[in-house]
Amino acid sequence: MNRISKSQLAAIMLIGDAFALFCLHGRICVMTAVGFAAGSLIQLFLALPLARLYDSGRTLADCGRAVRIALLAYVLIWGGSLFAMLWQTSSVIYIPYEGSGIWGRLLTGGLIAAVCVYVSSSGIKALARSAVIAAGLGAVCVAVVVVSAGIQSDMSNILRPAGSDLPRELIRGFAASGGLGSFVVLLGFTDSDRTDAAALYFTCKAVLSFVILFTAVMVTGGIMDVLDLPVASAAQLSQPFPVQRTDSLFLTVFAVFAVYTVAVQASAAEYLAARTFPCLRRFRCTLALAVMVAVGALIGSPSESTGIYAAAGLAVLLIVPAEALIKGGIRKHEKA
Amino acid sequence: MKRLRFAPLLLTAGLLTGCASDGNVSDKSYLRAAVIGRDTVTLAFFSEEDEPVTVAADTPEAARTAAELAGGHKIFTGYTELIVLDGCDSAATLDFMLSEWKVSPSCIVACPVGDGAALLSARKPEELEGAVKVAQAQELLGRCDIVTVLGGLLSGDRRAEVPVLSREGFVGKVTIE
Repeated sequence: MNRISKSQLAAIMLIGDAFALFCLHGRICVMTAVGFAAGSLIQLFLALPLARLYDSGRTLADCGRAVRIALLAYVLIWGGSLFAMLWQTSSVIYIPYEGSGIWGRLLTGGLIAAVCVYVSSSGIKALARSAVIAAGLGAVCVAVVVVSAGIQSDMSNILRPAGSDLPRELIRGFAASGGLGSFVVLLGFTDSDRTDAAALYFTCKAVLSFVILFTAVMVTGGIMDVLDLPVASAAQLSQPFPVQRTDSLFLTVFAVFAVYTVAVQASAAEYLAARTFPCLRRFRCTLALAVMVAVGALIGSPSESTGIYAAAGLAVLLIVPAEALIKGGIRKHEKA
Repeated sequence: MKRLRFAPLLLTAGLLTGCASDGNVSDKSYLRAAVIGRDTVTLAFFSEEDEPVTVAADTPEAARTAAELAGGHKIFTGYTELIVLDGCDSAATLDFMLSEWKVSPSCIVACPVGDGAALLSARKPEELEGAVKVAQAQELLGRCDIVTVLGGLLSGDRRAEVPVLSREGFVGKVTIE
C-alpha cells in the first residue's frame, strides 16, 4: 500500500517549501516572516475542509475529471516554476555547467529530471521515507545558519524599516506555496487522521518559514538593497567560524531539495494523469517532467506574478471541497 | 541487465557533483588582499612566491584580468581577507566584491594613509589584518567586515566606520560615505 505517515507527509512537503524559500526573490523584512507564517496558518484553516472530506472516505478518484485536470495543470505549472526558480537562483550559487548558457541550463534541468524519474519510480512511499532523511539534512543546514546568524549577525537589522505591509507579504507567501497542489494529492495517501496531518504540516511550515526568513533578515538586512535572492545569499554569507563558510553544505541541501521538490510534483502529476487519462499507460512521470522543463523554459518565476500564483494556490486548496459541496447540493436538490 | 539500466544515469549524475576539470590548486593564485584605487588596483596573494601586483585598471574585474595575464595564473577571490578602499566608489566596489568576487563575509574593509599600493608592499596582509583584529579586541574599533560596512553605506545615513591602516599598522578609524 502506498500509505505515508503524517510526519513523512510533513517532511516531504516542507522540503518543497524550504526550496521555494531558498529561491525567494526580492526584498524581505520581518514583516515577510510574519506574513509567510500567518499565511501558513490561513492555509491550515483553508485545508481543513479537504482533510475532513478525505477522512470521510472521499478520494481524488471520486472527483470530476475537470477538477483533476485543473489540479494536474497546477502541479505541472508549479513544477515548471521550480525549474525557472532553480535557473534564476543559479545566478548566486555555483552550479556546474549552469553558466554555460541555454545548453548548460537544459543539461542541469535534464539531469535533475532524470534523477527525479529514478526517485519517483520507487513510488510515493519510498519517496516519502527517504524525504525524512533529506529533511534531516536540511534541518542541520538551517540550524547551522540560524546559530551562526544568531551569534554573528547585527540584530539591528531586524529593526530596519519594513518597506512592506502584511497583505502584500501574505500574497507573496501564498504565491510561494505552490506545493499545495501536491499536498492535495499526498494528503489522500496519509494513513492517519488527515486533519492531524494537515495541522502538523502547516504548523511546521509556519515555524520553518518564520525561522528561515527571520534569519535571512538578520544576516542580510543591511545589504538587502543589493541582493536579488536574500535567503540563498544569507545561507552563503553565514559563517559558523571565521574561516568556515556554509556554501558547500548549502549547495548540497539545495541540490537535494531541488530533486525532491521536483520529484514530488512529478509523482503527484503521475498520479493525477493516471486517473485522468487512462490511455496514458507508460512514461507518465517522464512526460510530466518533460512538460515541466518546457513550462519552466517558457514562464518566469512566481516572483513576477505573485497575485496569479497566490489565487491559484488558494483555488487548489478549495477546489475539491467546493466540488463536493456543489455535487452534494445538486444531489439533495434532485432528491427533493 | 535490469540493474544496469540506471548505470548511464549514475554516470551522468557525476556531472552534478562539481568534479569537473577546472584546473589544479597549484594552477591558481589565491587572493588575500586588494587595494582598490581610482585608477590602479593592487593585489596580494596567499602564496609567498606571488609578489603583490599593481595594475592600471578602473574596475576590479579589469584588474583581475590584467593580473591574470601578467602572472599567468587564474586568480581565485573567494578567500579574500582584506580590502583597502583607496579613493574608489566604496559602495559600488564592495557590492561588486561581495556579489561577483564572492569574497568571504568576514573580509575586513579598511582605508590607507597615503598610497594604498605602497602599504601593501611595505606590510604583509596578515600583519595588517592582525592589527585590525587587535584593535577590535582592545575595543578601539567596531565591526568592519564587508557585510557590516556595506550595510552602513546602504543604510539611511549612508556612512560606515572603517579602520585606517598605515605602515605602522592600525592608526585610527575614519567614516566613509
